[in-house]
Amino acid sequence: MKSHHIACFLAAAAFCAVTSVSPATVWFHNTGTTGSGWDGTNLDANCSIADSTSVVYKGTTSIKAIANYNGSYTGRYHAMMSKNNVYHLGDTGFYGFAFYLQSAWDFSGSQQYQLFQFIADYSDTGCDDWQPSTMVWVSGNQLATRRNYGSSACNRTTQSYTGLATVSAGVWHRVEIQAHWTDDSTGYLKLWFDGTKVLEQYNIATTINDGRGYRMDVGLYANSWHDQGYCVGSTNRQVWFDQVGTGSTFADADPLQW
Amino acid sequence: MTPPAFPFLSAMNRFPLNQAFRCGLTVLALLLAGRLQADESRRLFDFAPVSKDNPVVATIDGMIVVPLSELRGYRDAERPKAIIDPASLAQKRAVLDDLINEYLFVDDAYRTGVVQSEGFQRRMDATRTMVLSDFMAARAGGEKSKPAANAPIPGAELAERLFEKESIEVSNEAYALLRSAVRAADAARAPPTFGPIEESAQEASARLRAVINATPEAVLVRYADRSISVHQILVIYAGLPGARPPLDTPAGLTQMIKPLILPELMAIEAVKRGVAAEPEFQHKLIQNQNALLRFHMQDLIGREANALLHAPGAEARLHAWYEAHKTEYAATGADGKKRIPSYEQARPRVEGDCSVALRDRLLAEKAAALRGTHTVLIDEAVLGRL
Repeated sequence: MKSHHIACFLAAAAFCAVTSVSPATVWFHNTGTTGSGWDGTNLDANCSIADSTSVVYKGTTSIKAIANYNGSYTGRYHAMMSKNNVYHLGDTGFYGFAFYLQSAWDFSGSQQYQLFQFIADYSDTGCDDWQPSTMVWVSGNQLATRRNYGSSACNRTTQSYTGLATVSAGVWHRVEIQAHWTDDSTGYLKLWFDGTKVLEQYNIATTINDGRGYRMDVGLYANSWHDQGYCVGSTNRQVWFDQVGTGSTFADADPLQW
Repeated sequence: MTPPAFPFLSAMNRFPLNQAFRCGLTVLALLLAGRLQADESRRLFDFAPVSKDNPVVATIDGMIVVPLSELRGYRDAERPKAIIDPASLAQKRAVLDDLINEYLFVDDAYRTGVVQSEGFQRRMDATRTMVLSDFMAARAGGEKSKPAANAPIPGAELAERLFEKESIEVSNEAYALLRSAVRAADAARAPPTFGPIEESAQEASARLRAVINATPEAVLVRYADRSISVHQILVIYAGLPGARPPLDTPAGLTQMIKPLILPELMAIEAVKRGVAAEPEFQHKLIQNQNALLRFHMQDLIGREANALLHAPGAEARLHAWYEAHKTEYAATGADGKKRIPSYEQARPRVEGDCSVALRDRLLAEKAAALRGTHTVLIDEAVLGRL
């Protein structure tokens, strides 16, 4: 599919009968609080996630996620809020959030800090447990995302899209994702950073051929600290999140517009 | 694109050589006279001053300059894959055009008084405190040697010390008002007990708002030269989920007000230590202000797009969109043949794609309208160095 145009909105008259109006659907809106609307918390040792009133994009609170590296700890470092069943195979949707990296965020090295992920439990397949689908992360000062697709959780491929944008510390950023979740070549994945489209991939598989619901996690996950077993640069990482939204149109997910 | 009439200086709209030459002389004269806004007050990405090594690549209305470092900053931040051929001036020009559009959006926000609006001023005051506090925390962390694993959060110790040292006064009268209001808010928040009635979040919220509105406003806490009012606390309290601090005890009140006071104290400390006067802080503040103004303009256009999307007749327009683009939704079936899904099958994608395309169209129209009312000069020799 190629880029669309909006000629239809210039059309003077509709040519088909209107039998019903199905307005855009907001599936989830969170105004930067840990307790409202989430289904759970994905929180590991040496991490915290809580409401913050000091760094706010809109309203009175944001969600502050902290990860502290501990050399004697071998577990993972999640500080994320979770929302269940945000997408299923065949869905189309928009997913957005605002984030702010502490002004002293250390961009040295290339370790990954996840800010957002979709994940599903594939423990019953015998070949994986919790398997992330699309994720959004910062590596150095670069923003990246990925797709995870295949005929099953046991037969899957991941493709990363790196160097999408350069992230600044100490300033709010916005991310919006649009995806059509398929395991065939009709899917697409788009990502906007600060309102600019930085990724547009059409005619691709975007998920696993499996109908189970994917959970959306928003927060900080310092995955390299566990995966690589060490920490490069600052051992304290703080990220604030605000205006997390999902829905059927761009505006539903855009942190600006609600 | 038609080659520019004047190779090193071209305006957005074509005009004769002598006019371009005159514009070039004007820019030169303004630069010499120091009247060009060659400061960094409109920057979005990079704050390197204009210099021989960082020349001006574009000028807007002879007043706002865009240096090469800013263009590079924009390219790296948001258009890193836009220039495939480093020799292509057209690709570089496209990136510059997009950056100029962003500058024009921000300029429009300045011209229309967004910065002076009460809401934006409040937001910038909060942003200033936030950035100062964040800078102070970073400095406090940096005062130590390299932080060890399990080290406390940078700045936390300093913040605690400042809080302990600060003289914080709580008004007994206002505290009584607050406690009474909190009891009412807790009662208002409790679900109805008369049967299986599901109350909407809006209804619960309206009850909480009524409690707040019925409570007399008063200054609850004073510290430094700042204060926190009863309503401020109530609004935050009403929005807190789950276990809320027990505000009827001094410990609960401290738990509630401490996160509000700490950033302010850190910001005050940062000012005392001269952080507010440092170029790094001032640049970060400008970057935040211009980013928020840029978002503000995107927000206005996004809302307009959303209103159009939901205007009466939406379903018919979506259907028209589908008819115009349905081949793009074709999928290959198991038999190898391409099939176009029905409107009903494709509708979620149609709606999403329309929402994006509508926003893109309105952004482009707004940019074109702004371009028509501003004079933009581009130095293509400098652009070639991108």
